[in-house]
Amino acid sequence: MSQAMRRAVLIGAAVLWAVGGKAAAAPVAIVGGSIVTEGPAGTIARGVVVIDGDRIVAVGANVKPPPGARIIDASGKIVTPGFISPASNLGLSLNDPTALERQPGGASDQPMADEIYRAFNPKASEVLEGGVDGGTSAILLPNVSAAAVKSGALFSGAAAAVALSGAFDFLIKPDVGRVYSLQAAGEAAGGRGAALPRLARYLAEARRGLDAVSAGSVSAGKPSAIRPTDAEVLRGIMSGEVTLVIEVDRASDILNVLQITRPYTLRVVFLGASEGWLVASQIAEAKASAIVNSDANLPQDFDRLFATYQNAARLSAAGVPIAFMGETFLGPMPRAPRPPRFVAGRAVAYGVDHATALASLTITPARMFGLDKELGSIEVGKRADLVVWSGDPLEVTSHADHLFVRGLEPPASRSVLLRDKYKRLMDCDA
Amino acid sequence: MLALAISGATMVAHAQAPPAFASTYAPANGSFAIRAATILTAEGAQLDDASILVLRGRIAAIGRQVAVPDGVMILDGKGKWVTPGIIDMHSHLGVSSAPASGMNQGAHNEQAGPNAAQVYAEHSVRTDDPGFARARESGVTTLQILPGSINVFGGRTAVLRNVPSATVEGMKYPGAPYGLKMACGENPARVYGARQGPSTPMGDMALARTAFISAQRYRSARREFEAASKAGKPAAEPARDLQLETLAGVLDGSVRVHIHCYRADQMMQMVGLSHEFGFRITAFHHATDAYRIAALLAKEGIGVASWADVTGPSIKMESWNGIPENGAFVERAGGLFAVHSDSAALIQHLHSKAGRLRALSDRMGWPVSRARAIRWLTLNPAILLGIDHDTGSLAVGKAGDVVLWNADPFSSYSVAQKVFIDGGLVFDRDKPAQPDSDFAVGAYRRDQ
Repeated sequence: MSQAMRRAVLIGAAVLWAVGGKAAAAPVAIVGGSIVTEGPAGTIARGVVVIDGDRIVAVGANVKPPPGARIIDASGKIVTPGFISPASNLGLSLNDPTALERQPGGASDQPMADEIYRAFNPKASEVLEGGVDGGTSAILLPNVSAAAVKSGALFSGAAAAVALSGAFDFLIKPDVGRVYSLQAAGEAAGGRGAALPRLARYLAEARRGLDAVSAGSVSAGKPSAIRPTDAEVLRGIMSGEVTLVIEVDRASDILNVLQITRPYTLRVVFLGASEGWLVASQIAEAKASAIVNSDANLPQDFDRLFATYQNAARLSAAGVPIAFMGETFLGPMPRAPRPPRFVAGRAVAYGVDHATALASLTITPARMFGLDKELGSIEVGKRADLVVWSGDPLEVTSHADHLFVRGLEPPASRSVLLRDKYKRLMDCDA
Repeated sequence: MLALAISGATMVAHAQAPPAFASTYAPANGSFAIRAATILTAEGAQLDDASILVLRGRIAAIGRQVAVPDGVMILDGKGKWVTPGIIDMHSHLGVSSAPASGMNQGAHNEQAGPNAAQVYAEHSVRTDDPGFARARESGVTTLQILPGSINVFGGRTAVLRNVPSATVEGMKYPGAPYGLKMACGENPARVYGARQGPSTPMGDMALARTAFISAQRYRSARREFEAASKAGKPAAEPARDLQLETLAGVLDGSVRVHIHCYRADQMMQMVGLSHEFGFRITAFHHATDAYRIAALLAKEGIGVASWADVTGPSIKMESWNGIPENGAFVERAGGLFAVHSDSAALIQHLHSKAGRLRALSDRMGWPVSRARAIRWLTLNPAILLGIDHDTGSLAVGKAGDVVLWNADPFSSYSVAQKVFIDGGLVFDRDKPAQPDSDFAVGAYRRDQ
């Protein structure tokens, strides 16, 4: 997709979803907190952040709140960028077996043209639960099925970045990444020995095709394995503008993928990478990054025999940017509704540097999906996605005292309303 | 003493056979002391700068002034915390084990029919599950292994000591009563709806009531036979039925009832079932609606075993009302709350999960001291499992099940430094070589 086309899509989407958004009445100044900017300013011990509309307009130690601003006293508190869930399924009708997404027999005729943000319901009650753990945005990662791969789509439909505001203008970017699942590809092709060479041929053909198109000489005669409709998708991936998320755990699979992707300028993020620490230096050298399940220290299958709590720390020490899968009832999953706040805290207990863990919730996932000009740090001009924490954001004892998504505080989540309702009843009884 | 010996002999004479699958667990009976630590006993107030002494497997002393006999290993607890060993009363380790291959995965759900009261979870336990070692490294010293939740009657539970063992009998907690896993709600209907049924909650309830009516008849017949044979009268022994034997055990109170149930209305209907047949429900598990009926459950004396901080709906319709503060309501209402895992991942950080619940309760204006909150992980599950005379708190005479933490256990950052079961050191973070699952040998070495 050309730059102009991309802009057109973004503007179109923004217009489409603008209904329902409302601007903050007055500027907001968050005053006196320790501001972890995740930007060049580092951490400002006692600083001020000013929000106007949906943007951060000032941040620093000596910033004066504008006249008429709402003042939030953050003395003794910690201010961070809003947390970004890097691999989420929030708002995708998780509880609804009758949802269109769950219907058996459904098969997209052009899987790579699928747009997951169309399935996101900003009014689904769980969307606001993300804010309890400081979540202000999420990357919705599509699943990949063997059937889709068989139909010729090696990569998933578009992963999208969405804001957890509960408002209709949720869309941050409709196409930030594409997923390649070795599991699905292997099932479709008949194992690794077939699937991985197919990936190599596919990428090579994409490169040749795109080069030919840009040279104005579309080759005639030889049939292409790439459908014309997928060409635009591949242009984004091959240019490194759209992230290629590779879902894989076994160390030797990671090496295979790195060998195949080496000739190209792709932005590769491994999802899973349970055995990543065994090949950490190779991942770092390829400038790839990883979204890991830091709680996965069990050999849940034979591709994860070397899973360990030390994985995240070892990857990070080797220079691999890391982020974490979110949580479910039963622990982290490759697509999960809950922001990985405590997962990151536990990773610190097992050796990840505290600053790295905080970055894994903010600027690192923003970079992984090319969103770091818009999200992930407290800098002038960025989206006003901010959290004021009662204490260390990675500690179980801390709470999000204030949360802003695009400059607005979302309404209380359903679980908070239920809690308050039953607390009133119990306090009356007492 | 003499009377006891005689009655014991009589019992042996009456018994048909030695108890099947009896525990062969051999306690380590080790000795050690920890000095100058912060101790949460689960009995009373937090003890600062205190010591604990374990001699030959039993707690011998706790307090500010503890004399340690010569030759006993002394650990410095300065800046560290000591708690009882963690007890997870809802685990599927061993019956749903890693790697998920072969029979490892589905071994917890018997699919022969919705009444599987005849099965014993211990007969599906694979002791080589590496999850046991990982849980041990996180301070879990005792666990209840339950069958899965697809059946109205899932089968008997197993209470295990979390020690490395080639046999499950070598892990069985000596004298721990059996439990019966029951389930209401979506799982049985999902699995059996398309088969022989039941396909609805009302079908589940009818099945349960019918089974207990049969169990009543079975129990009467057994009792008549036992009375007759005691009186020396000739009588035909009723055929032994494993399914009815378990349900009769429930009616007798010798088998504890643990019910997987999410919704408030369905929990109260199970209470109705227990009233109809005169048995006690020990605990509801998962019970994400418990906060809506916390006072009713406390009044019935029914415990709640659940996650510490579930947020929002996910997975199931029946957990739609789940809130993170659920356990805080149970505590506030005077009920017994236990933090459970139901997961090989979550079992490794139950302590920080409990810390989260404590923080959530504080934030609601219902402060819970650390001394109190530690019971969610230790004494409360011990009471609900019927082993609190032996473990679950640090009291003189109880088992030396002790965890030494590097910091406040109610934190994201704390890890277990040393773990003891019956005074024996079963995990030592300071020394890399650990007793581990044999599955780890060669194929899988975590500290490589």
